[in-house]
Amino acid sequence: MAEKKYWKGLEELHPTPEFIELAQQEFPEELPVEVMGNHENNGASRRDFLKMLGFSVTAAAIAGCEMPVNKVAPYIFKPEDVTPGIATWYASTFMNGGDYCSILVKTREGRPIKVEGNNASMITRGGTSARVQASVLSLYDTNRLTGPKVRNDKGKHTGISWAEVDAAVTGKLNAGENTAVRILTGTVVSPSTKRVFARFTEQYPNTKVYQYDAVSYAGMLAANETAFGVKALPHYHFEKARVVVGFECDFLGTWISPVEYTKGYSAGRKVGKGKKEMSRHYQFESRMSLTGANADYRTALKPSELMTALVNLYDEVTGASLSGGKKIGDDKKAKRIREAAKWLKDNAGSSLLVCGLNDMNAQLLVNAINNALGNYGRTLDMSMPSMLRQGTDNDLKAFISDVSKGEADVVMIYGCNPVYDSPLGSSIAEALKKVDVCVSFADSMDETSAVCHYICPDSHYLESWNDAEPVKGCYSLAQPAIRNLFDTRQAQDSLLAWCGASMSYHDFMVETWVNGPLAGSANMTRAFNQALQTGLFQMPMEDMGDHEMMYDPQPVVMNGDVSSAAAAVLSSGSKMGNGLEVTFYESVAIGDGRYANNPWLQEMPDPVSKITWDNYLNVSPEWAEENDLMHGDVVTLKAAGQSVTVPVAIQPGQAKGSASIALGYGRSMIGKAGEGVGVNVWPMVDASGDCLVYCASGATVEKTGKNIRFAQTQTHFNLNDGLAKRTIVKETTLAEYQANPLSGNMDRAEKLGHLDTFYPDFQAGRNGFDWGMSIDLNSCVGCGACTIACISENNVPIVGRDEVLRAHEMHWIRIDRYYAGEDSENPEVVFQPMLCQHCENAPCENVCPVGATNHSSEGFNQMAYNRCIGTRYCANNCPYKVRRFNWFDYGGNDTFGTMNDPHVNEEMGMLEDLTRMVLNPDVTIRSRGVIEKCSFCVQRIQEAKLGAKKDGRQLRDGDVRTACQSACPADAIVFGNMFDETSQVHQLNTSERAYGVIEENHWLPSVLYLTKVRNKDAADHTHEQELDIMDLYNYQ
Amino acid sequence: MFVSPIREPLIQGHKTYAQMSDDIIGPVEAKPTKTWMLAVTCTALLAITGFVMIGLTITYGIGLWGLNKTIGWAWDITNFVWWIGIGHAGTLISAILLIFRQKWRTGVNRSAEAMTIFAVMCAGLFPLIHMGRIWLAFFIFPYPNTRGPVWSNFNSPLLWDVFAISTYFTVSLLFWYVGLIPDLATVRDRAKTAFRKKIYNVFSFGWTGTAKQWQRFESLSLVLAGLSTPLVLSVHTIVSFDFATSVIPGWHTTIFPPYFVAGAIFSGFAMVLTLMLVVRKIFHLEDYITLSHIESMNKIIILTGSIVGVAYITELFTAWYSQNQYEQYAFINRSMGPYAWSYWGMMTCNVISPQLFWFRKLRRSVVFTFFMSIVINIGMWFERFVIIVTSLHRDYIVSSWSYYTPTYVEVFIYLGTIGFFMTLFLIFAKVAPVIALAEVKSILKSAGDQYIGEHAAHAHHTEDAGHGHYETLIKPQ
Repeated sequence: MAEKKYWKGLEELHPTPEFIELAQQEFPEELPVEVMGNHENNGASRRDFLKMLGFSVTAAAIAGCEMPVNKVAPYIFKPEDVTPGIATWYASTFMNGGDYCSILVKTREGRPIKVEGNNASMITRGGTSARVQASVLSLYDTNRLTGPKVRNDKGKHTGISWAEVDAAVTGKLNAGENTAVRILTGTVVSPSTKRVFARFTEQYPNTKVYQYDAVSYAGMLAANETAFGVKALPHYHFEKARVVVGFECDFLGTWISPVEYTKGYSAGRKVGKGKKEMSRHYQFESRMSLTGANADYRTALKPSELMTALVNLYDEVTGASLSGGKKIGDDKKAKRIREAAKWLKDNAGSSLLVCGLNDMNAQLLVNAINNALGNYGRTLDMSMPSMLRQGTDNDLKAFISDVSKGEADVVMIYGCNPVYDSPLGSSIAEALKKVDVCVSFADSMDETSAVCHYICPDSHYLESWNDAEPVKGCYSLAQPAIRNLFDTRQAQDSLLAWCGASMSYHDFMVETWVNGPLAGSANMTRAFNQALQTGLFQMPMEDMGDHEMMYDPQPVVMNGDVSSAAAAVLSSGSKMGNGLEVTFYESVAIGDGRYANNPWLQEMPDPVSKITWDNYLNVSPEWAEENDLMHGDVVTLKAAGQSVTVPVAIQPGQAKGSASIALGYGRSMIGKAGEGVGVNVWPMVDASGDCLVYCASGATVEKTGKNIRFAQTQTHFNLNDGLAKRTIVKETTLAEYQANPLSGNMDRAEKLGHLDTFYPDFQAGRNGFDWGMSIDLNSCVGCGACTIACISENNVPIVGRDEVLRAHEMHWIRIDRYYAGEDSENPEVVFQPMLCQHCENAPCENVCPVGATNHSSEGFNQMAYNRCIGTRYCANNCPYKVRRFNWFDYGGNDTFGTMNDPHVNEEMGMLEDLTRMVLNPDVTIRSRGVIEKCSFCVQRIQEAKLGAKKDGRQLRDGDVRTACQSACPADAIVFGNMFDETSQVHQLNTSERAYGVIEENHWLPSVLYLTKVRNKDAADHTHEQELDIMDLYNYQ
Repeated sequence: MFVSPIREPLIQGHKTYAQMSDDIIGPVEAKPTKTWMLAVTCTALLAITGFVMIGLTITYGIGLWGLNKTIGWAWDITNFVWWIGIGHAGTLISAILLIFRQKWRTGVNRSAEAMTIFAVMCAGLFPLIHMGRIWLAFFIFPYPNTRGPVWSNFNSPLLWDVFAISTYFTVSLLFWYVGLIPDLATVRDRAKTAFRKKIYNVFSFGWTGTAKQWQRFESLSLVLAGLSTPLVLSVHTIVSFDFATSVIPGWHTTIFPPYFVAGAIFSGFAMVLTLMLVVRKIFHLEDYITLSHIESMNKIIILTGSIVGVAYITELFTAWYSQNQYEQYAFINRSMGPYAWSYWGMMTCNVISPQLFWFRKLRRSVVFTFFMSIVINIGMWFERFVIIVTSLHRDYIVSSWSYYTPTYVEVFIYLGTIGFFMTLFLIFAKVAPVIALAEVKSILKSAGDQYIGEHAAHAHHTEDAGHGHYETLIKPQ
């Protein structure tokens, strides 16, 4: 019997050949896979499918086992000077506006990754500042322009080629006869650049170069011109001053050349074996500046009172009576003026008065005082003046009037941003509209370049040739450490090209040197190469040694009418004394605003307020209480006809009745990091006189009812908890120290005596090294250079405002700031750098369940990031709270790819390929979920050891310098081997002043501090009382 | 067996063995009620929310929590210690009270043990998810490896925790499950459908109730009780070492082990009461979980609450007496600093309020007891929060002092574990007898109200009462 047949369709009942073929295939449809290498025959069988499946699963599994490695290409031809893994160093010069520092640039595989101070420089002497350290990041700023731009009709800038720009600009320059060119620049320190301007002027005779400085020193320049006939700033020698008196002058933070001054100042204040003397520092100022925080005697005076005080000081010093009986109201403060005058007189010839007021009359008085004291030629020098600020406010005004009158055909703007950083910004923007061709050399789109027709982006200083003459007769060179990253061209090259000089700026610069500093050298090439190698050309050192000036101190002839100057000072003082007086200052990190797009600097806590990512109105605690203001209250500040909404920060040390706010914030066009951070108060600066006045009186403050939290890394709390004093900072006065070097540290022996243990000696079993550190609280001025150097060296992530608000900042070394004393207007301030103390009995080590943090055989505490599972137990158990946890994927190197977009702000940089070029390849980027902390720059220790081994010698003291140590302009940090009894660190850590923070608990920190010595009378010194202004702060 | 005349009956309502089976297994056999469905839905949703938050944390990082550079632990470890503490009541009831022959424990031990298991599951979650890199959590185990080898750090209390808690969980689970076997067999025996019978047969391991099985059952119970007894003391001791061995003022305290154990039992009993009062009401088990049970537990609450109170005061005394300024400040800050509200919340909930149980009337009030159990749960959570956060937020270096507020992620993770716990408990209450039937039956004759107390019917017949017992023990049906 035939089997019953079921059929699904007619095809099956009456099969066609195609159907048979189809039916025999296992899969009725084509598989969605292709057999590799055989695209035509897609008839994949089951076996093929399984093969493919097996292959892809295996491949996926194999790929999953390893982190994908991207973009690694070996050299085909190895460049001669690049050895992978070995750093190449170039001597160069940091210049930005008037900021100057002689540096060494560390490059790895062709990338500049770190900047260090150049010890050979006589100006900065190896010191650096936070701005210098952070400058390497600005090279990799994603906001930099990648090529020249032209503005179209709609006001938008679009890309263009250099040839087109050149044709357009030279076309315009040569269009008519006597084309009027106006060049506006910041201070130009470079002699060759000045020669370029001269060469350009030769070609186009109707060219004028105007120089101005956003934070102006015009008053000083004018005063010096009047007094000495030299329109320049004196070269200061703080190291020679036994008494320093500062008037509203932040010479350690922002004034002219803070690195240089910090070097000198701290040298004059070091005490130790064989040096029991230190300088005394009086400071009179309205806001609590970094410098004031370091003063022995600081007196808070309102800006109007400062004027009177200065005349009073003149009277006291010279015995004149120019004050006409006008005295500052407060007797206690008047007494300080008398004291300061007495000390100045007693140390005539080795004292120094510096004044930061941009007021010609005030500066004339200062000159007169210094002259009366015979300080010229000793602590300050006009014969070899400083060239770091040359701009005048009248230059800017002349520029504006030229341009707005339509007298300029071509305008060029170089190294400055006048639309933003001047109170006249809006009129400049207006005036520039009348110009036919307006060229900006800005390296990124800023407020000024936005209104220019052509943007010819200047190369970064690390990509450029340049030279500098910071002090007359002292030269330094800058050389490129990397080829241009983008299609940029140095401004000088552009100018040379436009004036038809067929030579590069490099050749032009060499020419300058051959005819200038090097003239007379026997072998010119050799001399230039030598200068290039050291980065410097200085007058013979012996002439400028530490003790004698280059020139004999000439009796200085000073001109100028001091009595009318004093009258003018008094009258401007009384004009100012009206209502709330607000001063405008540049912050240590951001400056006049030119560093605003640098996230390292934005996240650097202000040395005094410890606030990041913001500017704010500093007011005194008493004034705040009277006006019912709390820390963080948002107010409307009205001054000089302008109004801004800004939060109030309660700042001990701010003179009552005055307030202050930082310039440089509120940039409207700059880049992801800096845009919209803070508010712009440049328009409030008074530009009515000859010199800009950074003060506005009669200001009013209105509450808006809002209160914000600051991204503040340290809030104010009572250091003294009503019990005994915590052994965090130890202080003494100079007299007590001279009588007994142990003073302030007397309790140490007893405390250490209690630390008996039955455990074996912690130093047993060491392999010859016991790394230790000494930090001199007396030297540290709190500038923050170490913090930024550490970020740069150790790839410390930047987390952004929101994360700092949540106390997630990652800095490995921070500077703790404590106030002391009961006078909230004049508290004593201590700065204490705090980093991993590398305890020998480290509380963090025993609690880690996986042993990720452990003790090295060389006495430091080390982290194995790969092993860390992130329990944070170590961070909890760290008494110094220096361990940092990667709350998110800050480094952009997550095991599972970056998944943090909603939480990590990309502008912080580490997620961008370009910005990641700044990372130090010697230091691991920590992944999300691990703890990190100071490693004592273990990579540097290893490098130094290898170097010593290669040289076949023992490691010497000083071979290893940690990043914080080498950055420090005050030489406060010393690192070395404690086993080596000749080492500096051993000497310091066994000296009388050495103590450990909370060492009575037997953690045996490897970092010891040296007591702070204040050069003040014991009666004036705050020993126990602590400042109590907590009520005005929110706890959170 | 002699029973003291002042003993109150532990089983009320003149129960027979059969009635007991009906009362206790009835809810297991009944269809899920609407109330139960609603409750499970709510708690499961809460649990799912919690797990989503855990997922977010693992995906994006611990930064989603409110922790910071100063405060590395907060709600995570608070919740961990809280849950672990809650678990302790179960072990105490099943192990220590067994050894002390406290018969009243039979009414509550099953639920208490279940609670232990679920609480430890919730607790164990936190040390895992608080890790920055949970995917490397296996690093904490000392396993042979090719990296040196690299071992765990046996000095770390966190590692001791791993062993303590895993041991605790294992022993508790075994103890609980072994106790369940005869009861699951009873459920099987009463099952009406083949499927149900099969399932319960598997889970009861084919228990037939032979004398040999009972003998082995008793021996194993005793062994496990013996193992659990030290665990009651050791687990929370080791948890307290997480703090006691550190250097942070407020953590570094030798009083912590006894103080933590007492606190754990204190909070555990509170949680047992919270659960049991609900179960008792919903499943109508008032005859088995009597006022006398409640009173007994309240007495333990007074005892442990007072121990905890003494510990708090001892801490204050030690801080003052030590003259150690950091220690002193830690306690001044606790009581007067920004977190003073949590300290005084803790003091009120844990020290003052349990003292009300000195009144017999309050001890025997169901409503008041329920209220107090919640208060104590809150208070004990505060205790851990106070210890962890207020000690950390202001320790040695003043510059780093900080403040902590939780984020929604942390709040929902915590609520999620409560949801998870409740879900598990509800499922447990639905699929297994919430009262240890076999054990309760075993005390019927010595503690049933027909045998002792004022309502005792003195001329009783053992056969009547023995019927149900016989059924369970002998008949495999």
